[in-house]
Amino acid sequence: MAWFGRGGAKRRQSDFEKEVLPHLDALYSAALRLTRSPEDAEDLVQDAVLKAFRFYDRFEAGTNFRAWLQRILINTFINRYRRAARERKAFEGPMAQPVGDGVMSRAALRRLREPVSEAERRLLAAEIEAALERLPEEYRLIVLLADVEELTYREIAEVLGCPIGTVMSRLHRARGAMKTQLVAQARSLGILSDEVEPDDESEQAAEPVSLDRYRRQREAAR
Amino acid sequence: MSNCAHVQRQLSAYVDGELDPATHVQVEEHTCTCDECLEHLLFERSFRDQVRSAISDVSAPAELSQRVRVSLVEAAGAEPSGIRAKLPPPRVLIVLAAAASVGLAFWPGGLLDQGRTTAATLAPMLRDVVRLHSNALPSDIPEAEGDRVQRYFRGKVEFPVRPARFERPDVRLVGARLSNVRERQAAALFYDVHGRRVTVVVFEFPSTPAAAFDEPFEQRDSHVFYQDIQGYTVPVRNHAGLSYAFAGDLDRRALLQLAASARVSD
Repeated sequence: MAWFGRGGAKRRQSDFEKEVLPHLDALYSAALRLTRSPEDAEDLVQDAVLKAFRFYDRFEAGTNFRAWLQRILINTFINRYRRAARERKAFEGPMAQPVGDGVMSRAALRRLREPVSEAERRLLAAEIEAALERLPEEYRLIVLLADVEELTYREIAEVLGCPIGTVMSRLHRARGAMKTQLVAQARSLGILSDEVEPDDESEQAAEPVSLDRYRRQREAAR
Repeated sequence: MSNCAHVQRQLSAYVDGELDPATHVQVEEHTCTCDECLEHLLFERSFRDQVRSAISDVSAPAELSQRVRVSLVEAAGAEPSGIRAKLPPPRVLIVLAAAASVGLAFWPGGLLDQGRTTAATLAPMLRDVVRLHSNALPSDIPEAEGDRVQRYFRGKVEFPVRPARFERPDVRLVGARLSNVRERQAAALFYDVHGRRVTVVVFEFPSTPAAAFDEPFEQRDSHVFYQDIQGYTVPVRNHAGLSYAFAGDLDRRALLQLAASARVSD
């Protein structure tokens, strides 16, 4: 470690500390999503903050500090915590299904984008989380980076060390798989009826969500 | 329109803002006039929002900010205030566990409150620890087993004395002695480590700046706080508000590893 003189080092450290502490919650959230373990998440945040501190002079004042910290966190994660990244399991499970363009009717599209009640909104959110969890690690990570951390395709490609085309196709497949699963679940929950005429306006009548049915289904799934 | 299939394939990238300007405009114009593609676009946007809000943010655990601050202070090599120039700065050394079989139980506690000034207060106490070791005083009790030692100190010191244990066959507790560190009561525990003497002194000093972690670890690094005192390296561990300071006739690394591997049963 370079010594900047004792006073200098102390000042730098306390400045940096003041800047970093407000971002800890966001960093921890991201770390938890990535590592899926509270202990690993804490370690990851600590490692990332230390790394950021070491490279503090490379940060351009006036640019987005949080985004800079986030990039470091993600890079640290990629370098240290990912296991056997290049799995060839890309075509198992939900990824095996072809992502057809006509998979969703207009009525289904309309129905799913506007939950009729808070309860339904929460049900759908739970299904989305479940669908995300079901994705293989590589695909799950890409969806997180794109949709939650909001990195650009180029940034994702840099961070993952793969071509931008791979990022786009994986993202497409991952989202497709999630949508397919969402539609299937919405059908079994009764949010979407099984037979829906593509342009039949009468099908737009909201179906009441059956919590009983949801609970029974959850029980059966265990 | 045969265009629709093409446009719909672009919608994902459109919502992500990743289309080149020309294509972006094409898609935008198309969706203004095509109901079906608009429907798909609205869904795509909503799906993106739903994914984002389904993954909610959590708060960081309270001790994380403490932990981060400690590691920043150490990384900066910041000097504790009020320290006399000739005293070496306290440091934290990362000691690798010897092997997974050296089952380490992590010692909880070790909160850093005023780490900088505690290091200054600690130094004179550690000098006493060194003195205790180098004087090689005799044991107060003839036979030292964990239980006996604990019972011996009951009533003599105002804290429970639980000897440090080591999962090594070459480490034996051989004696104990009632003593003091500065004006505080202390329990000196004598160990034989592969033929060499090691003294572990237990005393009340809750806020030793030892970065301790709660999770049990297998092959992880352990953080052990130490100070160099009069030629001895003195590692200090924390448990339940008590400090365990190690002074021994081992080389520095061996002593640090020994300290890192110590366990205390509750």
